[in-house]
Amino acid sequence: MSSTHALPFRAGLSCKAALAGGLVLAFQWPLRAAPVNEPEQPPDHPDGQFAPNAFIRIDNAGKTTLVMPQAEMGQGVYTAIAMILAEELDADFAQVVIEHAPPSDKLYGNPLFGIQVTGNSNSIRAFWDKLREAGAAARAMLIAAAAAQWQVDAASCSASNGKVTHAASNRTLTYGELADAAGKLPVPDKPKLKDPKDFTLIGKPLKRHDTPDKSDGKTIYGIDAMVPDMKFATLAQCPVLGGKVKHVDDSAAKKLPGVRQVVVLDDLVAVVGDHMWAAWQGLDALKVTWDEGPNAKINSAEIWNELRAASKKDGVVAKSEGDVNKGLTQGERFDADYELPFLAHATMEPQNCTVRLTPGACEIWTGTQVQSRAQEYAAKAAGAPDRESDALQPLSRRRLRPPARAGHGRERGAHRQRGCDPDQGRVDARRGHAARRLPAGLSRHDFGVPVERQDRRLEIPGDRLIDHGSLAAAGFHRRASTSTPSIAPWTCPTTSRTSASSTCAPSRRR
Amino acid sequence: MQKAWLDLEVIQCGYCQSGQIMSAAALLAKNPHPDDADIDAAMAGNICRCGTYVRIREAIKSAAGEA
Repeated sequence: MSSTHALPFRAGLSCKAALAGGLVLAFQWPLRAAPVNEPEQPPDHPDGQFAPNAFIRIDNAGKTTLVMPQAEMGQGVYTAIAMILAEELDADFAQVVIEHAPPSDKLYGNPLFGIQVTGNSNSIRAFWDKLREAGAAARAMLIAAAAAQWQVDAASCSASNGKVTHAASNRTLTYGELADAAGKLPVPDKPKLKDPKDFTLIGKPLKRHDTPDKSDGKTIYGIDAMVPDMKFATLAQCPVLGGKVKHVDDSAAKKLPGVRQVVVLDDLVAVVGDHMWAAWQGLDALKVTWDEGPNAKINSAEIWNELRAASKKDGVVAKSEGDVNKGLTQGERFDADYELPFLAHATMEPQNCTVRLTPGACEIWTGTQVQSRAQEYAAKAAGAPDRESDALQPLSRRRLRPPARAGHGRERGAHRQRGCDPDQGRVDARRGHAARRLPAGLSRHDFGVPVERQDRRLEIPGDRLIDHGSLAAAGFHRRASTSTPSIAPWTCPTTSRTSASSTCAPSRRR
Repeated sequence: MQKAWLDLEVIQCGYCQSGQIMSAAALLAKNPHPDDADIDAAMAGNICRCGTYVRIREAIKSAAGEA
């Protein structure tokens, strides 16, 4: 075949417009009312440690492990979350060890999403209260343990840098020394949080936790996973969403050394090889014709026209403050239209997923922003019983291994990627004892191609930018609170924000 | 070079940075005092999706003892 195509993971997010008059942010996430059933799985080895909640582990030597519910992709979230926990815990930040959380919506679900998702730039405002309370509860228990040992009032003790001090008697105990006793105390429901003026970590420019290992090659990314006897697969998908495979001539591909299998699914073709090169060569040797389906004629101009038309109709009101119509008729009026093109995420690390299926267990290594969802899809693909069933326990115990990510928001769609999709079962997961990796993403040949096809590339009108100073002068105020579950970072006394959708572009979602 | 990278917090996702650091080390081995144009030319083969190029330049100058 002449070329392969980028997988348009983001197409479902692309076709939304916001009406003029409000700052534009037309992103939607399908909120899931009830979390998927999640077998409870605490992080590795909490036994024998002070583990007052899902986020904090302190052993007898004082080693303080902070468990990260959110995926680090370079945005610095490990450092920020560790700072929040360590702030309220009064841990010695330099001695903190970071571990990624196992998949568990129940323990580590994003409070704004209900499931374990990293996205929407909401990690800090979503977890702010929860993490502070987790840290403060642990601190209160450590102080209570020290006060009991000294037989003094807990209020006369203070904590800092991983130690509890009773200043009046000049006594000090480390968190490690207190871990056993603190572990026997009840966890307070509503621990007292610090006054922000007493913060010693939050608000300070601290060194990142994730970067030392990234500077000397120690960091393991998803694509670094290697397991014995693994096979490698790559795929081509119909370049138009909704299209299907019409015909595949795999005669040349199957003659190539190292090519093991050509798998034809409804809308994609995958080649499995002994190594990545064989899979790539096999894919290049395929002759695939596609039935591009009902969306074959859709193009950028048409999508934009529909969006512009939709933006002139009444939309769904997302927010309304003050009398906007009155405001618009008074004073000087500025109008600006913003149109953003479809863009490929262009992550450096190709989308990839490594799976090892053995009797009773399915292990997955993948950089994902939706860990528990990936686990759920993998369970289906592996033919595991319903998640309610105990029989799934081996899967959850073998845990979804979370390597480092270079996702840039793209891997939130990873659970829809074939590597974790039920259809994938036919590619590899049911073959037992097999370990395979399936990378996909931007084609090697078409780097930089937008989500659409190249010949339909969008013309971008000249962009006009508003600078923050002008916004402030016009009465907008930067939001101070990080805990407000609102999308827009700006407030204005008179605001109307509505959104409208066009139906012309197919959604990737199923 | 690695120290300069950490001092200036060059790294974000990190996926490209091993290659960036190796290219930067190779540059300084040949040219101990590169200017911006030298740096841009020598580093042109390494792309970074996080857009850390500005800090990469600073880190190379820092490692060269010029910043």
